[in-house]
Amino acid sequence: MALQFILIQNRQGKTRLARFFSAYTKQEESGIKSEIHRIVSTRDGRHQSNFADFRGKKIVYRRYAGLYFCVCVDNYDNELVYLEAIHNFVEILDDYFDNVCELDLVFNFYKVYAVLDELFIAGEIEETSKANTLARVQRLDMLE
Amino acid sequence: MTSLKAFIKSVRSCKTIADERNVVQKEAAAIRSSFRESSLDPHARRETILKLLYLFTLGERTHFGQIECVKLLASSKFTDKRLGYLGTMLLLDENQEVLTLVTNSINNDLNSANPYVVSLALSTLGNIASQEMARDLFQDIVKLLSSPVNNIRKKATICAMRIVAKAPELEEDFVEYSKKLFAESDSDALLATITFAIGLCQNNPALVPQYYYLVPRLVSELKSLGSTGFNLEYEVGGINNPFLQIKILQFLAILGSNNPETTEQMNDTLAQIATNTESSRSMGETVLYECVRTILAVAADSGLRTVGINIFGKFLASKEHNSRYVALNAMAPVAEIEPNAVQRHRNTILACLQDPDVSIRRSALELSYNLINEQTVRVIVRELLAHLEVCDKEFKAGISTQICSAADRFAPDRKWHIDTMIRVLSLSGNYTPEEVLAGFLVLVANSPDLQLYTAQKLFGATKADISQEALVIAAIWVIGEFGDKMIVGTKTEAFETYPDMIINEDTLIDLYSTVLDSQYTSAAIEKYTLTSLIKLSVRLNSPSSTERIRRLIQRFSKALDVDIQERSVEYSNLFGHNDVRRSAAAPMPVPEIKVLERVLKSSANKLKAKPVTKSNADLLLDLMGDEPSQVASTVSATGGPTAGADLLGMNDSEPSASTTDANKNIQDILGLFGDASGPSAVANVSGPYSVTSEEEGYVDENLRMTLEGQREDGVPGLTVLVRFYNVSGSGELNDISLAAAVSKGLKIQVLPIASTSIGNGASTVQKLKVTGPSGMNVKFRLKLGYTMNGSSKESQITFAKFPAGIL
Repeated sequence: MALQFILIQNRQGKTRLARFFSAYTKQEESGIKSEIHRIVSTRDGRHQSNFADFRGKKIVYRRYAGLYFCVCVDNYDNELVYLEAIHNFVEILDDYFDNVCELDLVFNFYKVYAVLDELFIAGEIEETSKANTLARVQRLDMLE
Repeated sequence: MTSLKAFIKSVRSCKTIADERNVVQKEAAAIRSSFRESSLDPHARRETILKLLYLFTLGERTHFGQIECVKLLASSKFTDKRLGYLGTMLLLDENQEVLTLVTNSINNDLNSANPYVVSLALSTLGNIASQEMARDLFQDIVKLLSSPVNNIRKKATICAMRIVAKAPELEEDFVEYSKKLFAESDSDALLATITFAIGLCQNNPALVPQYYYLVPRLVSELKSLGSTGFNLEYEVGGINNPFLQIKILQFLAILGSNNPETTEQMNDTLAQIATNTESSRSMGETVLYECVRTILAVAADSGLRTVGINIFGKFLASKEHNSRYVALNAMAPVAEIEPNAVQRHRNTILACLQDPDVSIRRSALELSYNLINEQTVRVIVRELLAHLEVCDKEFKAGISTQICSAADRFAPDRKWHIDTMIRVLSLSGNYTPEEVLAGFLVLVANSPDLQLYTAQKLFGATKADISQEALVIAAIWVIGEFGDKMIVGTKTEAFETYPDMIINEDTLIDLYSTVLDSQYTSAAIEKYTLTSLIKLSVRLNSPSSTERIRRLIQRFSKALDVDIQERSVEYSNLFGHNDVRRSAAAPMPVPEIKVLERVLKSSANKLKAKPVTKSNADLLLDLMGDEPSQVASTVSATGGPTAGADLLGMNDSEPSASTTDANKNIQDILGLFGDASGPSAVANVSGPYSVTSEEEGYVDENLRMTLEGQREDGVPGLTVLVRFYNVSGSGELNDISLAAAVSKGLKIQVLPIASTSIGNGASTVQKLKVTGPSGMNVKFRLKLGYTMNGSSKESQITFAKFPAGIL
């Protein structure tokens, strides 16, 4: 039921964020990253769905400008929910960084992880409220 | 030392990859040496770790920084801890010994007075917990399940789920905790609590009944989410707390499956959501989709199911690729249960065969196979044939096989059957599996009325296109067998398709030379051709034809392929012994096909096979891997694509020895089927399905249960068909229920049973899906229950009869 991993990559295949919820070796992780890039970057957004098969599981992905947000779910999972969860995540990032762009994710990669950890834990959706999440992350920043 | 920002900038400003490597390596060296300094001030240390993590995201080797990250965990500063945990999650994985150190720090921080520190530790534990960690730390988690801080309770709840997944022996305690959480949680915490309970139920389906009491509460929660005004805090995409709605629906699907009582409690609310949810926005569609999935998973009444399937029908007609994709996938398992409701959307489904998205096309294909029955076979096979013409190569073999199996089972008449098969051979003759071809030839051999027609049509089709291997082989075989009939026969309907066709001794032999001279010829074609030629030599009368045939055969006396050379030389020698040649090339004994006779019951009588020596017929059947008794049961029980797979003889349990023996015998009688035996043995492995035989799992005086595993190549996971037979001899069996668990490392999904009661002598079927690492042995623990004459019976069974490595 849970997510296997969440990846944010740009069109060139550079990984901007990677959170693995199952145990993989570092080698497997980098294999997954390049395979996912191969899969999503060759898909045609206008004529294809946002779902692709991946090693017996499914990739649910969505492209925002030059960035692909990908999550890996089980075959019988509700793909649409995860698509919405990705969108929710992006909207929160957009509020947090005030019009987010790829550079925000590059220079503040550690903050992106902090936002992610408020939304997902152990591959499950933990929090869905935009306001709650933002309040918490901002509070965390103040503790620094 | 540069700052993180400056470092990132300098990496980004690099013009070439070589430049970048240079900058990165210099920085990595600097980081390494700064770790060796003991007097690094805290700020510089944090900056260094951040750079290290940036290096990690670039894909550099960063293992040398692991210990530094763990050191940060011990710091008393929140900033340090936060960075330390981030580094820990990124750099470590479950399998490293450093985890022991991490476990210690997490243990300390879970007991911290600062809720933000506790929450950091929880996030880390949830994301990287190993089995050992789970065992060491579960007591801390249990404590936190009653934390006064909402956020911590929620995180701890999901951590608890991960802990049980890692250490299932803790399950019993945690079920009690989850119930306590349900009693306490408001709608804010409900999402996490349900996630926890679903996790428990998935690990061990036997726990499901323990949560039945929650159904009324969940239903009322769902109802109020759907009807009351918006709580802005949890509004997403125009829907009130959609993620919670979906979670509740998922849990209801688990609680309602195979339980009419709980299903009854949720029916109304499900209907309400299905009709009231606004589907114009994507979030609404998402909730609706989950709702219909729940309706189809529980034993909802047929009216509600139809409502659900019609909603999917709307999805199918949508412009959104995503909606079509999910609807097709979700409809496939229902096609057997609610065939009529799904049939209504046949045209929309068939239209999806032309979709630009390959995964949608694939799902549409799978679904359309399920829709084929006596009434729809003509329409759907016509669409499939049209699709076969244009589809990608990878689909051709699969579609050919499916069309063939559909035709075998549902052909309205023999002529349609033969026409369909010729069309398949002409469209995808280079991808037609060997057993499809063999099945067709057996069919022709068994249709004396249509042999002339078939022969003429194949002759015409092959003259028009000699690039399709299976078509060429079929034509060659048929001409070899029925060449004499073709010469003297009248013009049949085949001439409507090929009006310019001229059939005489010369044109027949011309076809052979064209085939052998063409660039498309193959070893298989050459072998078939040689045998066919020797047969034809006794069917044609003029000496000039015999001479042409002799020369064609002789051409191969120096062939590189030893088998072909041997045939050529032996056949050439037969021309010196006319009597032997005549008896050797006598018509092939008509192979008996039980499958066909059963399917075409009406016409079976007049098509009674000519008397054949029994042993030969049996051997032929062996060749096709046809075990009649088993096929019979498969067809009667499912009528689905399984039957097709069995018919085509992809049975793994088939002993290979019999194939080889058969091969020899057949070659002795010069039967062309001998050729099919080699490749079809290979097809056992490479076909789209691997199937285990049906194994008995349980039997008593009333009920017999069998399990059959099926695996589709390329798709991981095993589908297990569980069949229940009523063998009581007297009454009806009711409330049949099956709970299943698998060994650790495997995952199981239990699909709804086709019907929970079976009358005397009848049977029903239920599907289980097992996924896990390939090569693992599949073992089940099953809990079977049923009632008979008011008294109920329950048994636990351990089933491990599947062969090793089936997954």
